[in-house]
Amino acid sequence: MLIKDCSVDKLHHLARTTGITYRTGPFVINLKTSAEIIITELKRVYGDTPVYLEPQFTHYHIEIKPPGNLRRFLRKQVVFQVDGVTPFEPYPADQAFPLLEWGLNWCIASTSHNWLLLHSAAVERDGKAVIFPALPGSGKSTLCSGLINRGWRLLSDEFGIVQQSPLAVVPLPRSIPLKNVSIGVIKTFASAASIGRTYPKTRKGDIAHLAPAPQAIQQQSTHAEPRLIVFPTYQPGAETTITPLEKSAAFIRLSNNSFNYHAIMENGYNSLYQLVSHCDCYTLNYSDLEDVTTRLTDLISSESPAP
Amino acid sequence: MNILTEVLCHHDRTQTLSIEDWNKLVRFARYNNMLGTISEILQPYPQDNLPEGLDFLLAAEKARSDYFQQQTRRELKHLERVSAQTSAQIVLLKGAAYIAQKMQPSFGRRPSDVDILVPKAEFEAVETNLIANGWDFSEDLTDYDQYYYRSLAHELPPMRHRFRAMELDVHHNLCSPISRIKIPAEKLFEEAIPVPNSNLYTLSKRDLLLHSGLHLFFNDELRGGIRDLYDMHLLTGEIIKDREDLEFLIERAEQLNVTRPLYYALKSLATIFNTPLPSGWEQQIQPLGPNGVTNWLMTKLIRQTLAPPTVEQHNSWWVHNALLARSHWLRMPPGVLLKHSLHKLRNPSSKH
Repeated sequence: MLIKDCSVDKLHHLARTTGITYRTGPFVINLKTSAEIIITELKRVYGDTPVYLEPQFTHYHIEIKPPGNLRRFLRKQVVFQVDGVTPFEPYPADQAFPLLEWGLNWCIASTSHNWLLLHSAAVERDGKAVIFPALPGSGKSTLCSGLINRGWRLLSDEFGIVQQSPLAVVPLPRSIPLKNVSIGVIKTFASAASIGRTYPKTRKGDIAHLAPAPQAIQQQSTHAEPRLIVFPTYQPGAETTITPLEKSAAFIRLSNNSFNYHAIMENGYNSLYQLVSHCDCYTLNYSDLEDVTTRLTDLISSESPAP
Repeated sequence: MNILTEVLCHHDRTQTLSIEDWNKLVRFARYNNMLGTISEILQPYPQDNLPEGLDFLLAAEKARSDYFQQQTRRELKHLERVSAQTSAQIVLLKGAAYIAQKMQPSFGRRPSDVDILVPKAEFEAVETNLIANGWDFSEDLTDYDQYYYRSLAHELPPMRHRFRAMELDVHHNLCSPISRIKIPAEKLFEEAIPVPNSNLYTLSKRDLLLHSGLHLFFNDELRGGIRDLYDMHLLTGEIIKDREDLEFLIERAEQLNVTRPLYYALKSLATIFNTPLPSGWEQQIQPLGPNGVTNWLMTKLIRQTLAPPTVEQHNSWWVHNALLARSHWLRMPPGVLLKHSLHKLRNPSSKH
């Protein structure tokens, strides 16, 4: 059964009793909440993901609920709790969904040390994956959002999850947080895209959540072979320029751009070595979203076919 | 008692767990920082009948423990250099001791700090030596913080080497000089045992067990207490085989004035872990226990904190505050307790 097959009432009931058990990438989440906005957003963004009514091994038990104090009633807040622990400060109650998405990303980033986790977007086309490491000014999320609205499959906006053996990118297709100007850019670029409401004045400015295409969620258990590593930089007015990068330089940059390269010791080195050996590496300067998606589509097509 | 204590008691139980059991086990273990231990416990068993998704979670936890253990061994190597430059005997406590001596409680552990004991007479010299070798105090310290650590507690403020992340806590006794328990620290050094291929020492195994009990039942570290109790379960299995061994342990506890924590430790081990103890053990330790009311209350508090039936009950408000009040009562005479409480009232966000 998928989330889209469940009525809003059924999901509400589950959320208030035993919790909604659903999949996101390789992870199974149990979510308890009374926040109705979360139910609506789950259906919008994750409609095609399985929901489990029979017992399923669960990685994180999450609750989004009002705090125990007066902020339950006045200028309402919600807290994020995972396995009995509240790791963050409360959020305003109407930001319950951004809190869920951000909190779950945090859980995944701080515990998934069986893989090398790169701070990057990853997309796939024709069976071949491209990794875009996220550096300040890269415009990674906007670039990623553009590509997935021109036929690319979203693997992940936030995490390049690298499996060492066999070498693969593990998909984790989740909502993509668009910030400020990017919201308007993507609305123009892809008028049919599901963006949802804008949350004004959050800690990161105005935020809206782009939903992945249904196919990305449907294929979330299908790994992809990494082929390209592209370091993007958004530069207003720049022409799209793709320049080859030395593998050794790519290795160093990626090791600094990883959530857990040092924490997983030799496995970090070995995974990164395998990845960089296997991929062609580039830097990318761009400003025009349509042009850069066309150029990247040409680039991936010119790579030899996936086996 | 809960699924975590069941599994820790009987490792074979892991082979008969349902999916719901696994979910509860992972939640308890994660809350109590014992997922690394669970991962270790599962090593000897076949790995292919685990529920889908559990395999990579356990691999992730093992990676975490491996990292912390490596960082601890690295820190000990650096401490050996410090030890070579000073005449002070550096004695490792707790997690670092288990790792240095490769004892069972070290498996799956993820220490984020190293605790050491040095003779009081050498305290200043060791502090100077550490600073000269690149350690510094890891917090911004107010005057009250300095007073709290140096005068009220029995330790230097936490230190950290400039280039590394592990915290170093330097003590000259296991209990604060002003607390109700007075331990003759020199006896600890008399029995300290050397670490193989190193100039560092650890407490003797008996003393490690007694310290674990003291730390658990006389401090306010409530969360994850079941892990300390499990350490004691493992150590007891190693140290106490018969009536004589238990008598020897009680004698040592009397020398160190820690008989009450030992009493609570053994009672809790029997109740929560069914730890095998020599026959007649209850009579042997009975004289060490408190009066009826205190006994009853403590039994309730301990069981509720360490092994509640659900993860949510680990956070029970009244239990947490009752134990916090008790630990302060034990560690501070009334005058000091009053001053400390006033300080906290005026500075609710202060660390101490």
